[in-house]
Amino acid sequence: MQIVISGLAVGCVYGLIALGFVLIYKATETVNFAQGELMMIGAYFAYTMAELWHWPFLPSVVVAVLGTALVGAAIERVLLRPIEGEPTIAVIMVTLAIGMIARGVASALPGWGTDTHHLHVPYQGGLVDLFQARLSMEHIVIVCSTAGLCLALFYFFRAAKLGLAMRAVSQNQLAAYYIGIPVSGTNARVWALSGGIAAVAGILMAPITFVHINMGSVGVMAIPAAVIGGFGSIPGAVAGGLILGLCESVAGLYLPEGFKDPAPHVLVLLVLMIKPSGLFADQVRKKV
Amino acid sequence: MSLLRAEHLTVQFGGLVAVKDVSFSVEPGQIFCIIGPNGAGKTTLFNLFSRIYAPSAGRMLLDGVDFTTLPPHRIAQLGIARTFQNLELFDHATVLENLLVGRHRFRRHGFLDEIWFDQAVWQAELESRQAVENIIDFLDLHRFRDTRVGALPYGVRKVIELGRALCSQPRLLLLDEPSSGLNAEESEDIGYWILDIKRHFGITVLMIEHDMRLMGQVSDRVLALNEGSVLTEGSVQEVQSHPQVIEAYLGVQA
Amino acid sequence: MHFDFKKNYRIDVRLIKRGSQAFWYGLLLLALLLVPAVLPKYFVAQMTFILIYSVIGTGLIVLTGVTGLVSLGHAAFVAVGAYAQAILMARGVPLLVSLALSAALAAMLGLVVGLPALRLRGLYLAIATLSFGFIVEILLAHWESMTGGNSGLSVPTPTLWDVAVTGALFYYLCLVVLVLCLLVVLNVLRSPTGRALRAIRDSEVSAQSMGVNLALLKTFSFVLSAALAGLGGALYAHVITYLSPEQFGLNLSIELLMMVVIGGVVWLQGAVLGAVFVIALPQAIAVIKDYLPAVIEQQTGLQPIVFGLVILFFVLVEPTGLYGRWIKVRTYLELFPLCPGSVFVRERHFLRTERLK
Repeated sequence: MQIVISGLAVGCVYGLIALGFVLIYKATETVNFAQGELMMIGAYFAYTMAELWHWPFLPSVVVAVLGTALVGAAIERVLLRPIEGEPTIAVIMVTLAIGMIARGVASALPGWGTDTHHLHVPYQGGLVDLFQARLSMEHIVIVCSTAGLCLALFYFFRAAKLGLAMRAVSQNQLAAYYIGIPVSGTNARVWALSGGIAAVAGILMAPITFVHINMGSVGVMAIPAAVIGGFGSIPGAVAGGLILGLCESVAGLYLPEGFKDPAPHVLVLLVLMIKPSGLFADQVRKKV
Repeated sequence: MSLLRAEHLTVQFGGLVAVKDVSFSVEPGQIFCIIGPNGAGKTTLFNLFSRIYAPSAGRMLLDGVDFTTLPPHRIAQLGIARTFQNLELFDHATVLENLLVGRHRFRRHGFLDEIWFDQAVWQAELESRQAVENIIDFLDLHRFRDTRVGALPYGVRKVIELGRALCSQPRLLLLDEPSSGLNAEESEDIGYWILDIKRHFGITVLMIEHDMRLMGQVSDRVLALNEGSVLTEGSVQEVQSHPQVIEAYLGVQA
Repeated sequence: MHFDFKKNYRIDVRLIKRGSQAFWYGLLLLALLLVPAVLPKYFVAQMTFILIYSVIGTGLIVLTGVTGLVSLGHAAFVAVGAYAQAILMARGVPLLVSLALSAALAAMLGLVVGLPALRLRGLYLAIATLSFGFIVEILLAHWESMTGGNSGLSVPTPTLWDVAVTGALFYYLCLVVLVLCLLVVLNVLRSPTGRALRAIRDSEVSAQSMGVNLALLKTFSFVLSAALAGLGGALYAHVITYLSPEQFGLNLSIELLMMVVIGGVVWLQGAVLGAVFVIALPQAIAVIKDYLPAVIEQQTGLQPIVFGLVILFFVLVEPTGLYGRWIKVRTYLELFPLCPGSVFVRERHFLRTERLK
């Protein structure tokens, strides 16, 4: 049971990062390979405020989330708007580059550097007994926060004007322009939202993995999660993350040593072979 | 013996039946036109003949050969070539290169031969270029031969797509709305070219058209579709005066 | 903008299309042949690196630039070539044979990757290659009996007829390999296969309706680029002399992609120019570091930041890469003073999804 919950918790984090990916993909058909780095930035912001400046926890979180959202929007505005609509490889390279720069800059900033830092959270160390297993509070908070966030986003996309605008922009940019949707503004907001979600993921992860510049490499794991769920599907992203997290935990438990690491990647390849668009995704077929 | 035979073709996408029990045949040397309102299933039929879609029921025969389950890249070999409603050209390549790809089905050397690029491969290349020049002559594309297709105007691109289809020396040519987006003069040119294709090259043409004037100019036989099913088939006059066709498509006198 | 008056079809099909091309490339070849005689050992070593990266880059351009299949795991093929070379040479296989076998092994791996990848489009393919790259890296780390795992594997010195092939000799070997690889790829590109590959990049559907067997050609593209990567990897092994799995991870794949994007992803010349750039950049950083204030100089993060900025610069400002820029400069000079500004305007693209939901 413990394995399941911890797998789910890790899966939730993957799911949140994957959610960020999928949001951006649904709006702009680009993959943000720097999503992990956004998560790292969010965690670092929270760390700076909570630990270095000694702010109370909740304001630190809020400001960190907003700050990362701003960073996301800035990235979109400055770096991605010029390459709207360019072939896949251009955007992949840009987001990879952003990741590199983020890591480099983070290692250069005073107070951040290359050390591993500790982010203290109010629920740290708490233990709960549930279903005959001893569960850590961190894991439970992760799972609950993710659930809450997903619910909020679900309603957002169904009902809110911005949500509908995002869906329109993702399907036909030119038409969206004609209708009067401010495409660029919408994209910026999508990135901001993604950034905020990434920050949440980072803060949730921080008690478990600590804050360091390579914590963003989890982002690379989250890409397979998004793929498993299907890149066009938001519930799919979270589901994919959960599946991946569970797969990792279970593989660690049952498979011989050394098989744990490739297991998630093998899973991704299997899913792609059976269902090339992912488990929950839409059909991708060019109409001629 | 008819060149193309469609027998009870049905295509279903989930709950939507795009093509419902469509049967017709095209005689060799005919110019056969398919008309109908948008969404009638005309392009879907073409996609069936190009094997982009697989039919849910029915079969298709070319000159007696059943090609219902043929892999899509073999239909060029079989003798079917097509143009696309929304132009599927190779935008980054020159006109010449686009037309040369049309000759792909004549390729007779394998990868290793091509890497070696011996005299035989040279010969094949030169022959391809000769054949393509004939099409360039026919369609008056000289000026554009070495121009990137992406930079050319729409009317020229439509002609290039027609040329590329011709380069594969098909027996049956499928033209999907050849005159859409063209002005009157360009439409007329297309009409003459289609007639020439029939007369000089002996190619059978199956085309989808909305332009009634062009249809009247070139067609031998017409098939009218509506909502996936056949309304009627016959000569140009018969179909144009058929009451159901008028109601569904051509328009009733107010 | 060369205005070629072609008098016959042969001119079109020839590798060398103009006299001036023959002259300049001939000069380049001569210069390359003279390098070991003229430049100090250090530069010869760097040039060797450039040659090897060019070989790998050529393969990557065939896959990504020509056929349009983005590969984020290309380092895996390089790794297989490198490790195969080390293992085969340790068992006494002659140099040239083991080079060929390493390339062949990488090619087979390309087949393994290519076949299932046929059903995957664009982004999904890129991610599948990413996963594949990780799997290979992990396998190399865990298969300790063959590869020495994380403690690494040393590479024997290559010998040819009892002469150690190092330094200048190894440079010439790499040069010969590069020239042969370029010839092979150039022949492929001017043949019907090359046209078909470019057709696949631009419009799979219509390529298929013209008789292009998508599965066969995509697989061919994978196999060829994997073989070239493996060959480059085998040569690479001899230069770095000690292999460990983390050298062949995502970072190398990104570096390779960066190389072709910077060079100009649709031209073979881009592979070479990109290789030069990627090898020269760290050197340039090291040199400039001495002139920077101490604060910046000591940062370990400087290299990734510079790399990242360079990528951003090229993608945003000059997406056609170094060779693309060179073509523009050359066109401007040729048309001077009659070059209209509109010649270099970039098209605006709009996103139009192919998804149905």
